[in-house]
Amino acid sequence: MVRGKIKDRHIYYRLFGLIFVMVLFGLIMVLSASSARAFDSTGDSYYYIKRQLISVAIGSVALLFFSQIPVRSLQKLALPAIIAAILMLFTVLIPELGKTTGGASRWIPIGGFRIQPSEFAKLAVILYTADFLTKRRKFLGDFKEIYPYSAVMILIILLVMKQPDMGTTLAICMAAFVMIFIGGFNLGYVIGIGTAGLITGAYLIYSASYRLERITAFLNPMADPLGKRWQIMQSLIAFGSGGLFGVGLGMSKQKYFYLPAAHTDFIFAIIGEELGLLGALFTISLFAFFAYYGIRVSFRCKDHFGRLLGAGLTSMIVLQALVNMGAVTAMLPITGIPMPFISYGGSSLIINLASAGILLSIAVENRREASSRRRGPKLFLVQDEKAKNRETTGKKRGIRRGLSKRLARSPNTRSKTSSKKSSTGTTKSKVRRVKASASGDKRRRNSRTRVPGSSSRRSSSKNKRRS
Amino acid sequence: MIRLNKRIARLGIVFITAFILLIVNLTYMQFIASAKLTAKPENIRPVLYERRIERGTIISADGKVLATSRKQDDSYTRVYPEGELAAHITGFYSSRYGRAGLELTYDDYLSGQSKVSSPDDYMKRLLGEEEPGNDLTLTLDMNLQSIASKALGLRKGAIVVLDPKTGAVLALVGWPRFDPNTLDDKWKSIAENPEGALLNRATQGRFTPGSSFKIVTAAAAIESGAVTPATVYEAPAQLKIYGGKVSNYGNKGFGRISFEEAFIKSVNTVFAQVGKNLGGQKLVDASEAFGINGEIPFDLPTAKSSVPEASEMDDLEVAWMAVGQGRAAVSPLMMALVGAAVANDGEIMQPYLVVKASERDGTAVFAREPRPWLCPISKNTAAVLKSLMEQVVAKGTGKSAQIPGVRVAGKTGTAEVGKGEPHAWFVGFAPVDNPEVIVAVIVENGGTGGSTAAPIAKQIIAALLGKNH
Repeated sequence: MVRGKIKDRHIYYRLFGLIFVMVLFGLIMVLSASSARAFDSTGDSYYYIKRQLISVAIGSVALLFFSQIPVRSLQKLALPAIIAAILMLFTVLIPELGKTTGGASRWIPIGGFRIQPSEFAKLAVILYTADFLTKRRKFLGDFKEIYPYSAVMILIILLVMKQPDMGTTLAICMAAFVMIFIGGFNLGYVIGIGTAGLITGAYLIYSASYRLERITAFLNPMADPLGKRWQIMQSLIAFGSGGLFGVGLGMSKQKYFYLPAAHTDFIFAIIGEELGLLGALFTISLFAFFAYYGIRVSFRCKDHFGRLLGAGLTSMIVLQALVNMGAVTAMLPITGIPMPFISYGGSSLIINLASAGILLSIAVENRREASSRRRGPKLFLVQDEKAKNRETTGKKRGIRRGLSKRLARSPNTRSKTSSKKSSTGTTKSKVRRVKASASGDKRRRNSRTRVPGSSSRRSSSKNKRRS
Repeated sequence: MIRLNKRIARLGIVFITAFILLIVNLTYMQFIASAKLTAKPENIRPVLYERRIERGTIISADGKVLATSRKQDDSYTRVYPEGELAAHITGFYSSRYGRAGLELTYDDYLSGQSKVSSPDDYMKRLLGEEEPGNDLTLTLDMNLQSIASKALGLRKGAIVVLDPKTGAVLALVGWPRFDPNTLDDKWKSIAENPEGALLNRATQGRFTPGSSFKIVTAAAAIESGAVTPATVYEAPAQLKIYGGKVSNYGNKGFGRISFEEAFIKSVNTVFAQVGKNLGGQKLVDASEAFGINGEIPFDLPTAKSSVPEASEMDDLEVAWMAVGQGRAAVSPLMMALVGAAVANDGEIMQPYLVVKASERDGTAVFAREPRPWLCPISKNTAAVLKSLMEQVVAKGTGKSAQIPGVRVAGKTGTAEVGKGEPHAWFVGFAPVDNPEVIVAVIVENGGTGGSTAAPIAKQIIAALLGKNH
């Protein structure tokens, strides 16, 4: 049982470390990509990076805050959150309250900052969807069940599009769709919804792109002097000039106004130019790891809501990253989605960090839950007995090896936790429990006891030798 | 719960696929197609970068500024004081639509690129302390250019004026044209002009030469020795050849006439016989000797003038080609060079526009000496053709090019084109004893060469020689 705990702790710290690396990498790249524009428009090369640092500070608080909130409490927040999101989205459209610049009203000014409700709406939608699908999971065979939900969703999507903010609209739709898919809806319905969504989406993008381009061109004519094609061509030129190893950090030429939105939506192109293919692959690997950890956290979660929430948040961030990288590399149309954690943009960064906080909370929850189950009198461990037990089954299941290897690498954690546990437990009870689980409930074993927290000495020493 | 996990796993598979696609695409872009991407024409970094450099000035032979850079804030913008008059020569320089004309062909000099030779120069460039680009001095005479332009007026067509002794281009006019100063604003209407405002007709237009091509046919015939001006031909209104017929302009018969008279009156049926007797191969060889079917080495982009391969033509086609109809297509510059061969005793000088490129302090970094290009005909043949062409103006189809006190030689052309009026051609030079100028004129759908094109040439020759004498 202790194993589960250790493993989750691993994920927790790795995910945390990964997000730390992403944010740090993002700061470096924003500094590099924005310096020219910042100097040109404000006279201070560090203008954007200063603002971004403030956002990182706020975001970190959000991350730590949400990582401490139990998932069940989050579920209670789902309904208030969606209501708040809808209200904020309405507010932004009220001319007196929302900040309107050249036809696009996306921000509510508070103090010296502007918050972007559509970013908050992303998070709210995921919470709400997870909550809805959890509460209604018994009835999901019936298509009617989705009516009230889709009413809320359509309202939100319309409000975000009204701003207009195609990128966020797309992000919301993608995350919601993935959750509906995962949430256990009849696959036929899911495909139906997906196709309908794709067709509407294609139609909207096609019909609105002309207007949208005009709006953005009006907002900042220098940002897009030659239309979208210009942007994508400059982006490809950036990748091309980067080559294998890049032109060197800070040495990008494309950021000098050739590539519009170099520090926001197109930061990946600057990464490709300055750090080359290696830098780009590094960036991709960051998100690939994020996807891996995010999915693992969701996988491991016992709670239906937490699991859906984890999968939703993971897909929101990973899909945004994929769509962004796809657009910047000309594989997908340009939709105006920034790169999570990396791109400049306060609201987006804060919400993404908050989402990461929730993922961490789910990881903690897994651990909590694991340990709470163990807290019963039967749950304590005697290594020798159990190890024998493990070994026999362990050989049959290849999976254990890798896990025991990981344990072997961190003997400290193990001994610490096991000593803590053993102070409250007895040897006999543990043995009983292990036996029961080995012979008994298959599903349970699959999800939990399969994880070998304490492997045999022999196998761990074997692994040590190997490594 | 299990179904949930299965779907999460599927989501993972989707993610993995997307990541792999992304990695493959990136590897392709950054590793394999890297050079290709950097060389994209949309990579206007060099152009934008150059905006910080003061680009060289383009000056005409008579000291008029055709293109110059004016400083505006931190960058330079390109200004064309003469507007559209020299647009096809200077071309344009736009950060949006690239470069054309001399702005393109002499870009290295104008932008000062050709000067980077030492690390010091490179450092200076990085620090933004660049020397201005080189100035170009042209052979173009803006006074003549504007006279020629007025003579052509708003008729579709082109005029090429050369000095046959040096190959120097004195005027190069085409209509329609465009104003390079307003190119960026009016790009759509300029580029989409159905008449082709961006096309430099004088060098890039390809037209049926009509009777002006008879210079080439006559050159081939006289050069072969088979024909002299005195050779007599039967000149019916129509001539049946190989199941078809060649007819005279206006369906007029001339009876028995000499080759000389046939040239002066531009009699098709005689030239059809001459061509047929020569054979396709000799005619094509003679054309190629003048540079047709080849590239003209010039400072501006040129279109290739062409005649079909001899093996592709039957007798009828050869006969039609001898009179300048059929599949032959020539540029006005080519016809001017054909005339130049006659004027310059059989030798064509290489045409050029740019005399020199110099630094701001006057040091020449590039200077052009006139040099011969082709020698399609002998001196004797040239002399014979000269006298034939003189008589065309004296008493033949080119009478309207006569200038009192000046011996003008020329050949008209009336090129039948499927629909509408024929193209009017005139290729002429003056004075005959010591040619100083050769003019080639085409007016598209302008009528007969004698009535439309010859008077234009006359105005230009008169203006130039009147000034010189």
